[in-house]
Amino acid sequence: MKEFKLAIIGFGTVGRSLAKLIIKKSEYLRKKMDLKLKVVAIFECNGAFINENEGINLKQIVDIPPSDFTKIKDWKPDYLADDHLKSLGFDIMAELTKTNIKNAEPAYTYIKTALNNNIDVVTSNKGPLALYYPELMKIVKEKNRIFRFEACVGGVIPILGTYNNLLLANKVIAISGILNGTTNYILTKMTLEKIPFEIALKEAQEHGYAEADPSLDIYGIDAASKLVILANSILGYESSLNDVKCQGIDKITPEAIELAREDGYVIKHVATAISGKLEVAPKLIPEDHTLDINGTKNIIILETEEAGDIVISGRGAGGIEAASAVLSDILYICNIRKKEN
Amino acid sequence: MISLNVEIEIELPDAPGQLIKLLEPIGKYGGNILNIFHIRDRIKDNQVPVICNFDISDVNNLNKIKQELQNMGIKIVRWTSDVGAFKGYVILIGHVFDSDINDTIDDVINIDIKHIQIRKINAIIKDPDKPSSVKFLIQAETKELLMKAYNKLEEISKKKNFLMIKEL
Repeated sequence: MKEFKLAIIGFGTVGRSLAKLIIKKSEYLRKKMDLKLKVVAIFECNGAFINENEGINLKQIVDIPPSDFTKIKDWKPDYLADDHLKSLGFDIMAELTKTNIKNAEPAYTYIKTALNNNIDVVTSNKGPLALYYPELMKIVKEKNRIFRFEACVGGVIPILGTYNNLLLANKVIAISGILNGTTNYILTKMTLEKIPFEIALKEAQEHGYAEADPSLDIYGIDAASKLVILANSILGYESSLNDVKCQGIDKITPEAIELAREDGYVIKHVATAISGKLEVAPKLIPEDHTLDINGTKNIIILETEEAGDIVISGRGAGGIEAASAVLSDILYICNIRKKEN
Repeated sequence: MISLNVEIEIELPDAPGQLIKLLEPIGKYGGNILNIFHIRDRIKDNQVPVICNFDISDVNNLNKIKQELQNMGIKIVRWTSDVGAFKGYVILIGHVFDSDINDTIDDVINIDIKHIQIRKINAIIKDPDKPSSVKFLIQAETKELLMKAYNKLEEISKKKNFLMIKEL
């Protein structure tokens, strides 16, 4: 049985969900894939769980609050990724820290460090990809590493995997989609219940669909980051977040939605990449159009030269959904590396 | 979605089952039929004039429709893509009236007063102190002019702090 050593950076919602999923799937991985994932390091901002020999006992830590970390034998306070990432021995790094869209740190440095040290990387963090995609891909190529980031775009929707594995013979000429579940939930509420933006946002926050500070979602920055990643990966652009023309949904009124409806339209927050131009903005969409989906769902349309439109839709957010995309990427790497050895 | 509005007048034999000859190629090439009129008081030599009005988004298909009709021996009397055939709805949200809506409309139309129209203006103002929402239809003779009109509106929206929502 082939064993892969894994380091996880960030033990928040996605990190914990990944640990739970690894526990849940361990038997399946052993029996069906003949492999074992041994988590040797889990870094947090104030220390780390480290056990390079036997691997960390994940069951012991997945549900405990940060205040109880010190009670665990493997917890090393002040043992930080910045100082120890290079010296630890592991095969794959799962970088799951919170997205920083201003300068992508500390994730950008962690990913660069890992790739330069011949470690394969999986991330759910949009920041480094939205700001430094060409730079990271250069290192990936130079070091012959595998870098996967399915969880960054549309949560559980396997858009990059579908393109990379199944659509290579098709030329994709344009991408459009709804890439943010929060704004789609808010606009759906405003449309169906004729309520103002502020009330719809409050409801989204109460249901946990929007953050306390919802600016990344409502101003379109989250969707723009995903669009950059999609356009760079699928259309071959070399763009960054600053290249996206971005308009938020905070000024949309129930009256505007009513006016749209009079002529058979709905208002949706749509991301588009076509002819080198990237845009995230509210658009008038004919009712019953493919993009006319409700709730927190995400949807992506790939317009291809050979096969017409290809549509993928699914749940766009959530810890376990993102963790399942991260684990799929990890297993993809394991399969490739297993064949090489 | 930008679509071209087309009106055609043809002559069909005054017999059952003839209309399908007109409908089939229009439907096949993505035309959306809006109206069909048989002008029965103008029947001559057993030929009835038929006027059909349809929208089509792919302009390249127009010639294909025309060709198929001609191949079937149908006489095309008139074929018009009128001024303003390229069109799209726009919604502006902001203090549209306080900042002089006539000025906004004039600036767009003045790009080419003969070939750009603004129609079907509709507004909802809930509270005079709050932003209003205004919808209108821009019609232009060519796609390029429609794009110019959109660009002008975007420029005005930026200046006057409107949110502009146009069709995908």
